[in-house]
Amino acid sequence: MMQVRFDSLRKLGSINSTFLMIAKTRTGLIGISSVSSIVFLSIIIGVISPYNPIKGNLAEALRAPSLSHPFGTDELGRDLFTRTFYGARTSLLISFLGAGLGAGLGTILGLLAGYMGGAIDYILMRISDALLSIPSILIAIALVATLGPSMNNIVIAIAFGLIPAYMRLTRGIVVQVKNLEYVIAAKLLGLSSMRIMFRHVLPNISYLSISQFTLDLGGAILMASGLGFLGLGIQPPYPELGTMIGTAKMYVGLAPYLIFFPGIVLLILALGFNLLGNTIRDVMDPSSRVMMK
Amino acid sequence: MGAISFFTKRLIGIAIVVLSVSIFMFILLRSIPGDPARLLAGFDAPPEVVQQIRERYGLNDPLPLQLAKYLENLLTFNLGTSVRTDTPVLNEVMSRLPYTLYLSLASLAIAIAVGIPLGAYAALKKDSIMDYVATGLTSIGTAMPTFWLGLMLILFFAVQLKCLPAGGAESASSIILPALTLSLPVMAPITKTTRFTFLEVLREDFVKLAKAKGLRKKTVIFKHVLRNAMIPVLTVVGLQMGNLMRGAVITETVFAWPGVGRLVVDSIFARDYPMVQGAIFILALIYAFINLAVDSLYAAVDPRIRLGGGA
Amino acid sequence: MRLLEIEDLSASYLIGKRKEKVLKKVNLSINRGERVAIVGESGSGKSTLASILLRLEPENLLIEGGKVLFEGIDLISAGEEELEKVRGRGISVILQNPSSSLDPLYTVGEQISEALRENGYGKDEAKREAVELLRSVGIPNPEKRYNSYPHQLSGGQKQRVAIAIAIALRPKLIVADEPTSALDVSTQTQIIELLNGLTREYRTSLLLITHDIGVAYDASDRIVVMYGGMVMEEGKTEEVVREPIHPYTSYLLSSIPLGNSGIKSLKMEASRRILQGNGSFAEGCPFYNKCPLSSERCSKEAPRRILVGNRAISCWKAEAEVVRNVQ
Repeated sequence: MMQVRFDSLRKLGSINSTFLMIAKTRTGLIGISSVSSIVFLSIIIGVISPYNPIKGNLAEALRAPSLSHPFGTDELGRDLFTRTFYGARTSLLISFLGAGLGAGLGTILGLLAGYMGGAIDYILMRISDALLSIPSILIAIALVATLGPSMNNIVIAIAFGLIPAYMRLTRGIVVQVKNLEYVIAAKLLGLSSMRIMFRHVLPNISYLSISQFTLDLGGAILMASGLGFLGLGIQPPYPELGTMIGTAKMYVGLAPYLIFFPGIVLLILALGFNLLGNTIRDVMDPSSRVMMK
Repeated sequence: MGAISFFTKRLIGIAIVVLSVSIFMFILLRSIPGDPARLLAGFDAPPEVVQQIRERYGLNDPLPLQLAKYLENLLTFNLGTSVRTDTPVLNEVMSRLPYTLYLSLASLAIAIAVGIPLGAYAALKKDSIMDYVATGLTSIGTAMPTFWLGLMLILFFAVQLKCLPAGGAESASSIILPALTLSLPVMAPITKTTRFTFLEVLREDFVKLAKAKGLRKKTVIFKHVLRNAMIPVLTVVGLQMGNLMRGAVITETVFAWPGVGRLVVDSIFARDYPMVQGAIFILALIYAFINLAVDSLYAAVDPRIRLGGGA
Repeated sequence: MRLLEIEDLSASYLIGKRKEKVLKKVNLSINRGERVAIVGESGSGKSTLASILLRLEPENLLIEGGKVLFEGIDLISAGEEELEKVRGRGISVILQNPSSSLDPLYTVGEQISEALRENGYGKDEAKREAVELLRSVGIPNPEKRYNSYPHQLSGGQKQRVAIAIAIALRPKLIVADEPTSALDVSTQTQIIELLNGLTREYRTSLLLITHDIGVAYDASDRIVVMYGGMVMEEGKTEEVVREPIHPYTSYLLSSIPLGNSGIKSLKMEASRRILQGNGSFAEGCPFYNKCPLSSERCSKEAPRRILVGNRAISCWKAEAEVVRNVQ
């Protein structure tokens, strides 16, 4: 059972001090620097790279890493360095949107269930039980396989797997919060349920979902690239890290760098998000901060 | 709470799971853009075939009737016929299932055999080199893309050293690389939890008392610390079933391992929807039963659950 | 040779990079069959001292100096193997919270007999003896209770089981760290009576750690009063309670709640006066800030341990008085 201590709750207003606390820890620093360097490269890749990520030069196909092609070139003669960071951009986008959608919907549904109680609570929680009882990869595969591998569907597929966890997390805390004085006071003032939920309760509990969100980003990026690897993600020729590795797998003996570099970037991203997520949870959640010592 | 009501409750839980999976699949199949009969028949099938399929699957019936028929079929394990091979879906899934179970169990065995001792050792020798190794392995294992690890292992052991097969299930050593690949993401949380709970339990008063009453260190650790730490570790092992299943789908694809996961992926590309549905249904069912088994294991470890709490 | 001799024991807790002194040159000895109580409030170092006796102190405790001699063996420098021999047979322990000191996953009988088995008893012999031990600590229907799990017993019963474990190997010394604090008042009295009876019967020495001077009065021959990691006053229980010399002892006696202890029959005229402030761990006497009788010297120099008759005192004011009386 989770206990909330509102006196020591770190409000979102102090983003600066939160950031400082994250940067102070060793793991937090590694997480921030690895994630931000890849994010930075994937943003400026269009500026720093002279190559087109989609159109290649077949005469240049399957070149080993060199000065002009630091990661080598792929089977269609495209520069792998360029494609890797365009691909990272896609992977990042999908996982942010997927995890964000899952966190947002899950939090709102959990808020409704916890605050409204009764039949709404019962139905929503049974839906969450049902979703939790199916492995998320199967839900995602079933969704993408039937609806088709578009960007929207992949994002929905990732979100689906995350919704129930946020529902439980939020509901658990809302059930405690709704009996606190400030909520009761708001009720006595005659404020509408909607207003109380979204203006008074939500801001006070969102820190939980936010720290869980960063923890889930690493998992979401692995899920997105996993779907891509299976051929159920972003379709070629558009670059996405998992899709790139999936199409390169037949060249494992011939051109292993086609697999190695996108994979390393993926590993660093997932690792960075996990370290960052762990640190943010420790910083934001007073009870786990004690355990850190 | 007696043992019987515990199982009844859990079986009802499984029934709910099965029902919700089926309804989910039903809704999904009906929400495919376009005509499901045409999808089932294949895009270039002649209209007679489409019509035939429509009748065979009862697609002309009203939706509630379709759902009822669909559920009835599932309950009798009538999962339909593969569009691709024209064999019953159940037979095909069942012939692939042993491979998936073999791979999953082998990976879980490696993960437990390495993860628990490693986590325990890391806790006992806190801040030693092995502790850092365990923590590092945990972080990397959680962040490792399974398919990439699999391909790297193929590159090293099959392509460079040529000492292990790169895929298939023909020789006895074929299991080694896929099982290693799949074990890492499962090992990471097991190691992490074991280390954490060991540290917690080591601080408990009863461990202090066990030492104080003159027990040997070995007895204290293996009899008291290990068993108490096993309860949270068991929870995490139970939670790995989802991880294992995700890994299995991907690992089987990387290593061309003929399990259910690969069957699902292959069937998706062959547009063999009855097969995809049937395989996912069976996997979800197995998942639910494994979770039931894990819950029953708690009772074996913890007398407070076995006998009911409270004095 | 005394059973236990603690000489100049000093220790600090490492908190982050900071060191916090918890024991300052503590001296203490226990004779065979003697019951000694250490009395002090939380933070006085009494529980830390108890944990060092079995070398089960917290990881972040640094023992900086001194000796703990048990039957002539120095436990501070002893190896793990030697310690395993002392634990259980030489010294055993009763912890404060009976609910957390028993392993929830084994029957109470098993938790008694495993200690016996590891120390030379056969399987059946250990079980028979465990049942006898349960009977001797006053557990009704011990044959049946042998197979009970801790969560099926009440707090008082669990503490009785813990006592049975402590006396199982007939140790020469039992260290009881706040054995009654987690129990209700009527159970407290029963447990103290049980401890008194058992120590008398087996001629076991007892080191009782308590914050409650009433409990100490009921279950000790000698009292050691600790404050801020120092022994403030030490002497025969009856004498210390009747005629406290140290200002801190007077304070403790004046502030006890009226419990079931026999101490309430004593007429006390101790000073109730105490100043506000915290125990200081700086150079001087730890009680300096709170002491109504402190002088300049108390803030600068830690008091020496002096012997006055049967009593040992660490207090500048008391020392000055003794000197004046002699002159």
